[in-house]
Amino acid sequence: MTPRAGADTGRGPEAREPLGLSVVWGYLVGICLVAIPVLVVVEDPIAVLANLRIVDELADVGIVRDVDVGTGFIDGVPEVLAHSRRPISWNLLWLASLAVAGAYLARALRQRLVLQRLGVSSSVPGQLTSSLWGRGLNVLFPFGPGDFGTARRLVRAGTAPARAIAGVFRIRVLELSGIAVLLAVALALAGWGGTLVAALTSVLVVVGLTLTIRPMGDPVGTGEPFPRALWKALHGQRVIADVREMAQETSAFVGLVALSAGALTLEIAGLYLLKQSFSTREFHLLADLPLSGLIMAVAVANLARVVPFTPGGAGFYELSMVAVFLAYGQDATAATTVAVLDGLVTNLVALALFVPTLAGRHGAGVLDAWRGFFRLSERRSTGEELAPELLSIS
Amino acid sequence: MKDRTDGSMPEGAEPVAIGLETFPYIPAPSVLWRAFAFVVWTLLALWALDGIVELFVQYWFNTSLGFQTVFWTNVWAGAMLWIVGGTVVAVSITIPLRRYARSPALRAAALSVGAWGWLLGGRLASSRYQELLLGLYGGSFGETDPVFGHDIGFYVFRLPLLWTTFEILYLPFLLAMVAVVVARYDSLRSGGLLRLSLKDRVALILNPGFNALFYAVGFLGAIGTWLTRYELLFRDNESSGVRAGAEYLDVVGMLSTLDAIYVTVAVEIGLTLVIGYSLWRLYGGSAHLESGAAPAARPTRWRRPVAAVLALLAVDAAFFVTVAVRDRVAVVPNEPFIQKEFIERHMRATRAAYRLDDVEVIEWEPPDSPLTPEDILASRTVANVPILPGYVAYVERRSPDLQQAKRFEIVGTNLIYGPTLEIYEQQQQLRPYYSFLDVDAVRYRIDGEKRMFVSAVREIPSRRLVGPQDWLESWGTATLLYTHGLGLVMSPANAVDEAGEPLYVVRNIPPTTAAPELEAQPRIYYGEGGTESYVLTNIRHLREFDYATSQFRSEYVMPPEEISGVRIDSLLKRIVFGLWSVTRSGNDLSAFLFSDFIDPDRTRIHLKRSPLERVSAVAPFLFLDDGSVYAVVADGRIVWLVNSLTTSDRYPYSLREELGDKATDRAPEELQFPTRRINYAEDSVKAVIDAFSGALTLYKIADDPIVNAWDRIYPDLFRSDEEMPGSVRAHLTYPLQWFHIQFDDVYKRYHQRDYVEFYNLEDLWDDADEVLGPIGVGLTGLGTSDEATFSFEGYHMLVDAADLPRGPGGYWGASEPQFAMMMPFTPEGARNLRSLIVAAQDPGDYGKLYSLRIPQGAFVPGPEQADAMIDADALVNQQITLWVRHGAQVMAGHTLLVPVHGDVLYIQPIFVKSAQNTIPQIRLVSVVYRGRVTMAPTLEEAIHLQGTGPPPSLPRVVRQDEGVITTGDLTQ
Repeated sequence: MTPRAGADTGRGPEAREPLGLSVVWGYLVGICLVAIPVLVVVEDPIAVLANLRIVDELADVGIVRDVDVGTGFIDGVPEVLAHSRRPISWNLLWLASLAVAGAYLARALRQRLVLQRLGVSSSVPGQLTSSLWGRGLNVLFPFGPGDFGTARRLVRAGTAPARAIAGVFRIRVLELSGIAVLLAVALALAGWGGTLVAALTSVLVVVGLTLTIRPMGDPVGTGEPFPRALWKALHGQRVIADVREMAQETSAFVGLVALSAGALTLEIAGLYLLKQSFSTREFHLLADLPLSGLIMAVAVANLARVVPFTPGGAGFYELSMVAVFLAYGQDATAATTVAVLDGLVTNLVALALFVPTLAGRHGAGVLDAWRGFFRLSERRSTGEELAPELLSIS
Repeated sequence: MKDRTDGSMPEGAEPVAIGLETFPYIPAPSVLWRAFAFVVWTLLALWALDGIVELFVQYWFNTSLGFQTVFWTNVWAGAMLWIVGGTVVAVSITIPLRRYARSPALRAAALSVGAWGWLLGGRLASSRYQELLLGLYGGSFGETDPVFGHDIGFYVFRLPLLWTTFEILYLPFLLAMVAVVVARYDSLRSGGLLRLSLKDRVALILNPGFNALFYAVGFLGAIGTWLTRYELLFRDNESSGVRAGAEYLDVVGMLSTLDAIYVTVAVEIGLTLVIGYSLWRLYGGSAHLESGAAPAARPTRWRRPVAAVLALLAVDAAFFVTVAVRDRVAVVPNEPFIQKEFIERHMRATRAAYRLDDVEVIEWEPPDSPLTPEDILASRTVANVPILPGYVAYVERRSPDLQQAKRFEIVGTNLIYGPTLEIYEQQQQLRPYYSFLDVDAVRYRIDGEKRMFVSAVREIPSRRLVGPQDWLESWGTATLLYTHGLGLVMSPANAVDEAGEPLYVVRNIPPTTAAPELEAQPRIYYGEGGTESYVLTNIRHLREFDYATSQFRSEYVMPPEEISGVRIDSLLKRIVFGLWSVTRSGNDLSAFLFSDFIDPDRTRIHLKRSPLERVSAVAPFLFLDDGSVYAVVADGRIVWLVNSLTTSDRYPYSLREELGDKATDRAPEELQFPTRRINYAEDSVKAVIDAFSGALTLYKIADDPIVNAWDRIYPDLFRSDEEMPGSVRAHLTYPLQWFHIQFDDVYKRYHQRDYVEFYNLEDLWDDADEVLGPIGVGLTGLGTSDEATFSFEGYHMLVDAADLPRGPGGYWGASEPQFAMMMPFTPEGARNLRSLIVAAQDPGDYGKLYSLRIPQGAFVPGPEQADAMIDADALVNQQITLWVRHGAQVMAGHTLLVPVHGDVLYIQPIFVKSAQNTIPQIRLVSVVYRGRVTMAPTLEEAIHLQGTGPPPSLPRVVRQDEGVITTGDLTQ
């Protein structure tokens, strides 16, 4: 799947670095980061599996030893098995999935509106599916080929490359704006008391993640003062310019930001329903988590997912969410359970919505988009020109 | 889709110029490496900071207790290991990478990775400091193992150090091999040599540095295999009569496991030589490619080395197969006879390691003629019988019993039995911020008479124990205001008032008592409630809350002259304690840095406040018995006593068991000490902690090689047994967990002295069971009743030697009743009484163990059978049904097995909680004697009732054929 290619770092052909290694790294880091909250943060990892209702399944297939049956490789603790046999409220789980699906559809709608504002005439299904397509690519591959894939699909459909790129960039800016709105709401709800620490902790987590991945990965920043490199790597100048341009039409801008916040609000509803679906009357996951905590968790986790380092932001998403829950004084086991569940559901729903977009000849386009993304990365590493035509080359 | 020019965007206008450079992309591995290195360095920096903070705190903590030398001994030992282990790891990674790698990125990364290796390798090595100290200071056990003839001290003290040394050397060599491969690959890649054939690439990568390391790893591996011969002595054999240690097959004859190990050692050496030499020859044919010189004249031939390797592996496998065949043919068919010597070794070693050789066995045959009520009432054991339980029982969280797991799931608490605690909470807690975490059985001499009491400490528990509470929410209230609990609550264990509630000898706030022996400084700064929390005293602007007075509150300031806690007299301490609190107790960094309450001239921090935390911080090598942490009054101070054991899992041939896993826990989960897998232990240390000042004293009470070694390592740590004040000695108890593992895990099988009897499990015992908990309520949905069957654990009782069967050597020296720990056993799979274990605890007799043994052919009802008799009694049932019908909760109490003049009596209190009054009251006491159940509001009345009706020697008989119940003599 990964083309055999290497990035030229300017030290001659023998020093070309294999980008395939980075891709492998991305997958491995995703797995490791998901494992960190499960294995490191939680005192008893098996309790997380019980909360996820997995232990009894493992007992059923004879991996965990059930005291009733007596066969299996790993000793099962009855208490944990009993936990694992708690019922799941499937109705709530479906509702949660619907809420998450609603969030993705709202984002797709946002994309259509943005493209409309940029003067791209389009069919509604075409613009909606390109958003879901991009999201699906991000779940399958590391380093976020979704933006490239979305733009590529728009270009294939006749949009000028420059407008497609501008549209995708603007969507990213709007996503960040929505997150900023939610963070502000969460802070307002939480007040400046003890939860200030929670907010700061959360922000620190995200800033730390962002700092370690993006700016340092950008050759532009090499040799420059760190803040300036960061500003450049995050394309701060362009973000400001883009916001200014959008703000010229105040009502449209406010509407788009509201839509972005609305999509995230649906994710918050999804998170709430999800934790309720895995709770029982006697055992309640994150029972005393305030609303501000829920909002903060979704905002921060989505911010971490903006860093497209692992497939679907796996690991970054869960770790950030766990950090917020812990900052709100929640139990580590419950926090990890909910974060892992939410990461799973949001990515699975994204994939479920991605599948219909493969209809027609778009299925083959997945690998095509990945190859194009890989080529873009090679050129970028070697400092070659990144012509917008890259979006249309097969 | 097409662009349109008449849309929302003005004609001719273009969006902000944005190119593909704004899109995400795949970064190069070197870029990812920089990010990764940044994350790792950040995490390591945080980790190092945490370690430094802990080191400082530990130093100040030890200094405050007068144990600086302990701290410095640990630090020097740890530092030495860190330097050696860390340096070896760092060198093993860095040198190959710097020596062979050619790309600047990898050569630069080598320094980072080497530094990480130094930190992590050093940390891992330094964590073995106890093994180093024991290896250096450990002495002799005065006995040798029967296989290799080494002193036991070699296995307990020096073998672990040998293994540590082996690991410190072996792991770095393995790392160095990996480093060489990576570096050589990089070198070939940078030199454009990756185009070579696979054979040449492999040859160049694996030579020459790798080859030398391969020899080292091979020979070290052989040494490691040779060392495993000693592991035969500790091996667990699940399906053999020799349940631990080397068996016949392992050490006898030429085709033994021991010889198989030697063969493997030889094979490993052979493989190392053959493969190493072959690699060298392989390199000889390819070396010119690297240097550009002419090819060497050594062609590579694979057939011989491959054949040699296969032959060596075949020899090793064949030997193991032969040993297995010999087991099937010559050993298994001849068991247990062929294993006699080894089974006996295992039995002897296990009894010695668990100190069971000194158990005095006394045959117990109850008298033929029944006792009269007057006889029973005359017994001093019965007079002191503790109907008020001096313990709280929790269902083990990891219970193998699915029903109990379900109970916990539904009820939400694993507390199964604790009426005294419930009563104290309702009658003596008095203010919301106080709690009783536990109740203990203790004895005092009041007015010259020894009596048994139930006692509890009124504490202000930490947030860790009781969750968020109003008075623990803010830093000020939790650490400056509510700093200490107040006093004990104490009741006689053998008496209740007319309502069935406890009488109090110490009660109320401030504590009052009529007994001068029980008067004490009541403030509890250090206690079980202080788990994972700290408080500050002698602060500015505020005085501590002392207790609520009739209309206001009393305040208190700890006397500045009291030597207690650590003074916060520098900015460094403020920073360090603030950082320490971030991860351990509340995240109070800003408070430590900026609070004006902290006065550098006098403010003190009291940390590690629970007895277990305190002892384990100073002496982490000790196993602390969480089942018997209790507070007593000694010389006007309340002190905590912690039973502590020295342990090992390296005693040859001794059975391994889990120490600390009683079936019914006696402490909440948060107060439990981690279990240990051991095969040797000694009740060697008694820790005493002053509840007011936190002063810690460790008394060494046993002449045990392990505690003696620690005494040599830390000469200032222990005080001798003779230095223990009489006021403390009078309150010593036998460690409950130790008692459990000795008898419930080991003695129940190892009391069998004959190897055939042992092998066939002819007289295997089981801990007796009893029924506890609410009767007939159905709260938990487990059925119509919530009562559940639990295994007995050791329970305390004042026992008069005159009530025990006559033994050949008598019992204890004193004529007054002994404060003993007892535990009944039944035969495995049956319910009749087989044995009663008694441990003496009073000064002079402490640690004497007796096994009172009912003859195998005689029937004496066991506790569960006594429970069943009570349950089946029509009168009892009628009364319980009546209570339950009126909404009361009825609770079956602990079934006390009471020896009376050589006979067996069972006493069970029945607690009732009415709908209006939720305080458990002892409303009835059941007495079972020789199959007859009597029940009355008081014990005396119930015993008196035993004297009415038909004589107790006549059992009730159910004649099923006639369908009627009559009473009569079976012989008639």
